Amino acid sequence: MFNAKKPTNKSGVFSESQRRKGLVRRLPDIATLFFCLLGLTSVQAESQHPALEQGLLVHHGWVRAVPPVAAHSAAYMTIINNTDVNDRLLKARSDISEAVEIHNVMSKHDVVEMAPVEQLDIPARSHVQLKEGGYHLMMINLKRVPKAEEMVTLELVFEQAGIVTVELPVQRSASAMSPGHHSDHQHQH
Amino acid sequence: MLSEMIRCIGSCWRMFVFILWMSVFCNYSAAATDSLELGFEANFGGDFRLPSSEGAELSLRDLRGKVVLMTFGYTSCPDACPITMGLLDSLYKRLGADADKVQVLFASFDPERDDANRLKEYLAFFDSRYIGLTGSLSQVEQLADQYGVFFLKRTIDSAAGYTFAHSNHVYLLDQQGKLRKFYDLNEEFESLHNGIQYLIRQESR
Repeated sequence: MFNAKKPTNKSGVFSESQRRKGLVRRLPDIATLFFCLLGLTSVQAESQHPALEQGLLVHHGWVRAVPPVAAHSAAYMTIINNTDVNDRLLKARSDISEAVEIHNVMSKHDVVEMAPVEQLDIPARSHVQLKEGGYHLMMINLKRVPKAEEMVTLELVFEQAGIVTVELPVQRSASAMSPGHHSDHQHQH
Repeated sequence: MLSEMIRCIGSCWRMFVFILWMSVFCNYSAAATDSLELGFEANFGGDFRLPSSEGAELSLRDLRGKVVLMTFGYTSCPDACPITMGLLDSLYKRLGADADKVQVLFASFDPERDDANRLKEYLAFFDSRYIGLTGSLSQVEQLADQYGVFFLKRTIDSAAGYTFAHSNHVYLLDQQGKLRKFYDLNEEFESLHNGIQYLIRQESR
């Protein structure tokens, strides 16, 4: 591709015009190389993008850091269903609490109320957000209080995807998520 | 069966009164601005004397000279109450040196679980300057009625046992202990910040 041209003058050095010509001739090659590299990096980036990953995915999860006397905590996350079948979160469990239940917070007429939900539908090719002031996994009767910065393991049981294990960072709030501290570690069994 | 019905009617009635007050309040608040003109709030507030997380009993009178932010909740609340406490944290940070002119009170409507010690430990996690209020159920109910706070204990089908449906506001009291305005902190963080600064400026004039 890159035919090295020999200098034609006696001194064995490229003249300015030769160098320019050579560069111009090589421009298409350089451009091809450039676009090839660009293509490579974008393919790499896309393969990491959740929208293109197949299966059932859990992203941006976190567990609330709570005072030492708190009886309960809560876990939040986005569940992405990148399959063609509807799925359903049936239950969840964790080592650090006696029970984990799916709860929803409803706000009506300025009154906030929380209620357990039997199961949570995750329709095909869509995602469901578990976030503050909405759906969350309530971690009831803590055996151990989750401290900021540590990781907590949760097992999520889905109707289709089966058991999905996630490791979530413990944070004081949703915005405390530090870059590079992703909660995308998950293993499907 | 009969007692169940009476309880249901009672709670429906409390809910009805609360919604009624809210609709009246919304009409007022449309006209109100950050200047903290008294509207609907003039009917509410007032002094109290309750066991506090500081050990001794606390009355509102003890806090004369400070802007008071009063909030209601319970320590076993995993979502709404920590969100409010987190927002109050941000507010304290925003206020900087002026934070010392503001006292946060957290009144529990779950005295069954929240005694003074528990409240102290709970609040220290957020800011050791916060003071918790508790008492007997009737004391807590009286305080809630005084400030137009709605709460209802609900037994739910959950390992958590019971939970509360509750209104979720922060009450701004001036340096003389008078209720000036109340806020939905999720929506009105800026207004509350402005309201506090307004009161501090007024006082230093």
